[in-house]
Amino acid sequence: MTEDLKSIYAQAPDIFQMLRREVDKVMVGQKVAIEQLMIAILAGGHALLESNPGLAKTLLIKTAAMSMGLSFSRIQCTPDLMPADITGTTIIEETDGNKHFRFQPGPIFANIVLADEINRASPKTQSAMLEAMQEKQVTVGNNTYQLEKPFFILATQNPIEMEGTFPLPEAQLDRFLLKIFMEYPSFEDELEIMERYTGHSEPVAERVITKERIQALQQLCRDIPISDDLKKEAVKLVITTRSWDGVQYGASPRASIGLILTSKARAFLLGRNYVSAEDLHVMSYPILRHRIILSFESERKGLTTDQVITDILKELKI
Amino acid sequence: MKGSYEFLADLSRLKKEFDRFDSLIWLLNAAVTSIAIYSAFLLLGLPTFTKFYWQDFLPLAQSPAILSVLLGAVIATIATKRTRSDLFGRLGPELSEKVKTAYDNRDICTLPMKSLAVDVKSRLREVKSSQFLNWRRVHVRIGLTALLLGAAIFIAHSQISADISPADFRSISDLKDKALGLFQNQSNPQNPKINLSGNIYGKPSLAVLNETKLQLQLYPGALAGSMPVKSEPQNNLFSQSPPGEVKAVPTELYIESLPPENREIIKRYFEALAKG
Repeated sequence: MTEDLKSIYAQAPDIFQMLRREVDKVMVGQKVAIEQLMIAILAGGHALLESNPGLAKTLLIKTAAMSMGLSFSRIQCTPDLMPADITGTTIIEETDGNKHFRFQPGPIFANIVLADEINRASPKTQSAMLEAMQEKQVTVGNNTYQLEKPFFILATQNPIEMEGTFPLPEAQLDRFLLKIFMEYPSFEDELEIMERYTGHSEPVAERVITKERIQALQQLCRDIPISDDLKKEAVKLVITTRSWDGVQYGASPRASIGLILTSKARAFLLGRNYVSAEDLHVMSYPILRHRIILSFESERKGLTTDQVITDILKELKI
Repeated sequence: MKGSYEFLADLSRLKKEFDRFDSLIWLLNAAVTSIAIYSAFLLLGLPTFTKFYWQDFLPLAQSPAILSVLLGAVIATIATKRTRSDLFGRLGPELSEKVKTAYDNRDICTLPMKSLAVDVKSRLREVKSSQFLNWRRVHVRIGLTALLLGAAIFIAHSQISADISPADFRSISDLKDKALGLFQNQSNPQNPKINLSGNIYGKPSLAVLNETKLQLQLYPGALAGSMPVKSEPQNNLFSQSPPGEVKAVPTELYIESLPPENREIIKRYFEALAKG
């Protein structure tokens, strides 16, 4: 395995380049979202994606799964979705006249799961899914089933149409490593999308990496060295969010862990063997934006969490 | 530096050079400050004063020089600490981050760390001390030291400091008296022209004759000196006056040689006292 890791580490820049190329074959633009999605997968965390409808959220996650040779499933969340619809259920099966119970796995048993419009599911279903995210296992009846590694959930939220939704509680939002924003494409990008998807055949991504290699890369990602100064800065940044003017609740220690892990993943993805201050700066936005709860006053002023993060970064000179 | 990575040897070499450079900067800072302070002392005539009065006791006779060196060392330490940057900061932003990270993780043995160590080693090999040591700082300080040294020698051998005698230091205490007089004037707005000072005789000065200190006190306006003589305390300092009849009585302690500008004031004072 050590020898394997050595060769995988040596090939890592090429692997990432190939992955990008494959995703770019299908996706147009959305560079930041693609990079952050890959960072989340490398860091072994889950991501919450917020975008307006029609911005290729499903296509992005499907393409990532295909190019990485991972199994993919999609859950369309609705208010009547039950936990068993996600986790699976025990069914009675008859073989040679004998009846016995058999566990029928739900869509959560995949490497990459897209939970579309998670805020439309009932709190009970949300809890079942979030428990699976945290523990990476599912308990049905008296049996506990381990989820296959790597396991990654990409949940999406629609920022508009909040009627009939169950917004995720803060404690559950904290379990998402990153909150990724997808913006509308530029004029040129939209023109390119039109060109690619109005012909006879649509582009398809091919597998360029195996599941085992993804796991090895996840392992190597954690080994990327980081200086003590940057560790201190990360902790200082997270602690500052708790006492910042205009912030009702700041980020938890889980944010500090996430910040370091994703900074390592970004450095690794960009072909560096050390974490730089720039990694910390860039990753502080997707790590902290869903963990900071603004006060009523700040919201009334129209302040966003990203603006608060910018102010804190400026103050701390990160 | 502990750890087994080879880059640590290169880092150690650079650190030694950096420390040597820092010590040199400190030394030059101390020299510049000490010479500047000593030059100021020379201008004030302080070395002549101390050499003259404490010629028998070397540490006191040389106290301006000792004080200059001590102050110079203290100021140089503060200045060097304030302007000091660490070695990592001098290597440029990218290499600095790499070296700092590699140094902090020198006890960890992982594939990325090994690759970083090799990278850092090859980069540190290329670094020459001249790249991160600012020799201009040294040259400026050497020039300044030479300049100040020349100035100090010039002052020592010129007549600038000779014009100042130990008696000139009295001006400092006179300043205090003037300030006190000003205060008293402000507190007596009814008669602002009267300048009542605490010491109507002025300050006594120490007489020096043929480089020998004399226990002789000279009072301004007295035109004569007085030697401190041990005598029994006098009981008849004040004349008795009959009760109920208040009048000013001349005594033998009244000194006729009072400064003319103060005589009227004193007279009025005693007259006012007799009336009251």
